[in-house]
Amino acid sequence: MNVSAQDGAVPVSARAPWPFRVPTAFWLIAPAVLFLALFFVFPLLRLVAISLPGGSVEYYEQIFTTPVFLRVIGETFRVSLIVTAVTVAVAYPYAYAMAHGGRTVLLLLTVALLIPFWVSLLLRSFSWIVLLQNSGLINDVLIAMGLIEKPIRLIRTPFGVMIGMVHILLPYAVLPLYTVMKKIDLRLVEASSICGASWLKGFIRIYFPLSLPGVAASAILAFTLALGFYITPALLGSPRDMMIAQMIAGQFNEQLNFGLGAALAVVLMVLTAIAFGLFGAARAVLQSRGRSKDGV
Amino acid sequence: MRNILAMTAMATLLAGTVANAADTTLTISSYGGVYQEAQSKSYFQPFMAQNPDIKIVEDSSSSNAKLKAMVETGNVTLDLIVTDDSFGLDTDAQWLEPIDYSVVDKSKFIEGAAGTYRVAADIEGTVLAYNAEEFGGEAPKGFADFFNTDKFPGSRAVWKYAASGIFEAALIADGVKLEDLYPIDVERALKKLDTIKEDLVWWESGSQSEQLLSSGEAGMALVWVGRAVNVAEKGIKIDWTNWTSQTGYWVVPKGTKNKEAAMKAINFFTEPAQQIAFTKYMPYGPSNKNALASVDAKFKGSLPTDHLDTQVLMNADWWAENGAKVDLRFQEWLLQ
Repeated sequence: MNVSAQDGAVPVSARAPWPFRVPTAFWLIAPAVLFLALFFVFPLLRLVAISLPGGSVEYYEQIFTTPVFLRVIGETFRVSLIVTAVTVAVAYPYAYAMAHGGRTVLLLLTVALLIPFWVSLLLRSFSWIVLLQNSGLINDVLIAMGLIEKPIRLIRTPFGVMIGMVHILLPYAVLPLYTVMKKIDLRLVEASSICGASWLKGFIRIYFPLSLPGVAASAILAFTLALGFYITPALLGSPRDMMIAQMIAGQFNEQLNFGLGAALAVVLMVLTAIAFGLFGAARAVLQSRGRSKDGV
Repeated sequence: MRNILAMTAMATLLAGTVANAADTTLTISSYGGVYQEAQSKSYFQPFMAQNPDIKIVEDSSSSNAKLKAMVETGNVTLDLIVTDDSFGLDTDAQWLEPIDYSVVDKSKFIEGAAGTYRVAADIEGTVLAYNAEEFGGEAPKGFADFFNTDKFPGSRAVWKYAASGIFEAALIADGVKLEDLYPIDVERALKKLDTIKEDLVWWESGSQSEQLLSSGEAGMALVWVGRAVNVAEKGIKIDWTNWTSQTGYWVVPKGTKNKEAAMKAINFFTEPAQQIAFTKYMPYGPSNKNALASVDAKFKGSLPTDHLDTQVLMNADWWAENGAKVDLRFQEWLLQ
């Protein structure tokens, strides 16, 4: 190895200029762009093509005129919204403890968060069955303690779906929150208390607004992932808790109706995009309002 | 150094002979798990021993959707695939090679086992399995008892799939005669299903059905016979009063380069010796009528082919034609 070559880095200006102005950063993201184009954009376009056989919109017509599909799509968004709200609500204090609770707390909470994260999704859903079912651990313990006589229905209910989904989504919600919270300067909250604000007031007026980007990021991540949930609602929910991914899989695997399955997937994608559009717009409005208020 | 060179040369030579020995590589996709292991031991390995020029490579788990996608994109990498009742009918002709009955002996099969595009690999069934301890020594008899929640209270588990046999079971429980089963009266079946809807637990994978039965979560269930036998040790018994047919089939995807070898393999796999060997490992009956009487003692009495007289034969053609429509109605009913 030639050591001197490492020492004497060539100054950027000494390089021959490119004929075209390609930002250096582009070359860093080029592999990612290529990968996405090949394995994401192309298959996605194929999917759209399959959903429109010969340019016909029959599958879309079928979706929007069949109450079952509309109902399941509505249910998917409803469940995802609730699950997202619960997940973020649980993740927020968790991330707070991770960010400001000291090294030991951070270590313990990170381990507790990440170990289940490495276990397969299917296994985790099955574990919940073992715990929640009528003959499961929770019911057995409650009956043995004499607190209840008949098992409580925990599984195959919206509650079952909720607990399973929140558990799986938790790491995705905690990590973005933690990254944002760690950067928040606690001296600002201290300053507010020096000025006479209570802890609660300091939290509401200073800390919480500063953590909002983390809340937004974790909510978006949790919501997107929740929309595509498939195996967890199937195992822990009742048939009434069916989500759209189950129907898409059914069209592909059981009915072998790729066209309808693809159309359902495209509808889900477009609706998700619209939801994000609305979310972004709402945020922009809130921010501009915030700014104009500051200006006054 | 010289030694290494010589060894490399030897290895290359040897590899060359091996490659020559197997001219054809036959890629077979099955359901995986114990089922495919049984097929490997009783079908694939004896076939390779007898045909040194054909090497079988195994793949799993087979899926009708994958087959369809494979043929449509023109990239056929599987030569022989296991499928279920819903696939391999005349309506699926565009994705399949017709079975070559000059190679496969059509006369050896039991009735309904040899179609234009598919040949039964084994005879399976969806059976009423129940927990012997659950009902105070009383055993449910037939689909009528499956729907009788007064006599047999508690949860019952069913496959969440319209063509699983649940419509047939509901109609038989409602008093419909076998010969009047088709065309299925969907609304009548759903009305009957309404009477036990609150007690129904739906399963979506074979392992889940085992789990529901063995944990006592469901006192009875309509499950694949292999799954019921798997949990026999946990006190799960099978009632053969009524059961719905289910079959594993061999199909050959359209455009495979190894069609001849695939046909040859199908014929070999359905010979009595192989079919009998298979019943040593799996509680599924043979599709070859000459093997029926000589099945292995291990599962004798638990094989669907031991109970052909009480079989409710599912009409695959009716389901192929009406399946999509019934499925939508079924999903709608589930959501209600």
